[in-house]
Amino acid sequence: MNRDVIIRYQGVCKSFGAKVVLKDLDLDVYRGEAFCIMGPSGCGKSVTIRHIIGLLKQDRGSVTVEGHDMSTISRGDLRKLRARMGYVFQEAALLNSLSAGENVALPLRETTELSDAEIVDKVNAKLALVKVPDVYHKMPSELSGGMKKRVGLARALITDPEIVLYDEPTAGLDPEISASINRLMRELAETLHVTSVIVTHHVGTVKTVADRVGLLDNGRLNFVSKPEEFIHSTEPRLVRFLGDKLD
Amino acid sequence: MLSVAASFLRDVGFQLELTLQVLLRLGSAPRRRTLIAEQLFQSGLKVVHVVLLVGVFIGMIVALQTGIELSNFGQQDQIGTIVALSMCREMGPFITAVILAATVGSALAAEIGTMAVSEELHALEVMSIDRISYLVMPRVVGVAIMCPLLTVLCDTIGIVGGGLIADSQLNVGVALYYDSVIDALNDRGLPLELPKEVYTGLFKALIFGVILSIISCTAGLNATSGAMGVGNATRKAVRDSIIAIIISNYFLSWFFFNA
Repeated sequence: MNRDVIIRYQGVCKSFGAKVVLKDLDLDVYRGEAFCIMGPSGCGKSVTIRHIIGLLKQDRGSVTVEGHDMSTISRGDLRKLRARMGYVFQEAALLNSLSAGENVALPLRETTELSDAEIVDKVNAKLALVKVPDVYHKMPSELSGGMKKRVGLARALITDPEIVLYDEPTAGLDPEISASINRLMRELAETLHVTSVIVTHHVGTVKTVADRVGLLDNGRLNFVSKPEEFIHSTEPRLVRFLGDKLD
Repeated sequence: MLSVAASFLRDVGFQLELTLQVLLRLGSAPRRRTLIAEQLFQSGLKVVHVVLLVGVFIGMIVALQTGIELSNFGQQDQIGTIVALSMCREMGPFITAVILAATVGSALAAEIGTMAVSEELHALEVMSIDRISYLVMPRVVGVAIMCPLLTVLCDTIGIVGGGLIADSQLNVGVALYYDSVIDALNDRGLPLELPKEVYTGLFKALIFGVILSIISCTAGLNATSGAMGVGNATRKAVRDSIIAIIISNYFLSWFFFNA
């Protein structure tokens, strides 16, 4: 694997009121790798990845993405950087007023000069890639949870991003659909060579998708290692956290 | 008390900034014509029947209340003048704006508020889509255009409603009523030979449209905490819009007719 650091957290602190969420968090994510962040509910996993795309700003420390410091980046550079990233939301966050296809097309319509025909072709290709080729004209309310996630993934991939951030991509899905989403993320990482940062509390996702994984606990990322080492670790904290998830 | 004042000032600051941001994005209106057309439909055609119904009864009320007093002095033939001027100057724009605040404003706040709590706004942000240009500007432009147009309808139907009362209950003939309406609404010194009351009424309607749409969009954009947050945003949008319309109505009336 190329060891070029694409995302770097250095001493990142983030609080909401009196609640300290991140406390001197350090992390390097390498180009092309799939990094999973595990942790108990409410520990700040989503908060962590939101710093990468500029949805949140740290109180202290620095987050750099492709060499850009996210707390001082200009609006123009942020727009360009975001065009190279995709974000898959926990609840897909599809715009309910647009069809699934138009949701996927939206970034192209808004940020490129492509013709309608080119956009439709690209959208159909991405919908096929995420294995929901027939939903272009369906409204989000007509889609199942798994289909919404896939459409959300297609939307995140439509600009051919170099970095994809996944916020609980399999939360709330049944095991079969979760497994298919996991396989899909792995395929995308391997075929499109994107860097993936995945927030999850599913061991299945870690096993299938991750190159490395860490446990976010007390505001810091601990036990960063390869999935096999992580899952079979004898560290008491990790054993306690993984306990029932391994069953 | 201090926190209420701080919250009020924060809201006003946000609304002023949002107004400025919308003005700066008016140049992108041609590119957003489809979204603007949709808003014209939502804030115009979908509420036109309410404006017509309320407008006709407002005209009837004005005619009845003032007509009864005028008839005590044998001046009921002036009823057309009073209904026409009060509808154009005050009642038309005010009633239309209140109807729009209650129908369109609440819908705007609920729609954008739902987008806020379901992370659709964040989705727009991470896709580098300008949410003010995409969401707010078309809505403000749509309501700002429709409010004066609906006001014209409200004025017209209100005058017709006043005529029904004048004829049926005040013994003022239809011809006399409409003669006095036409006299009141005729000013050869101004464009289209319409009086100042009509233009100031339409200008007020335009301002009310901007105010209520900005307040409603602000409430939606700042919605948090799920369904309850959307409910609070909707209530706040309608309440604040009506208060702002009343207060701005006073100052606009003072500016145009007393300054």
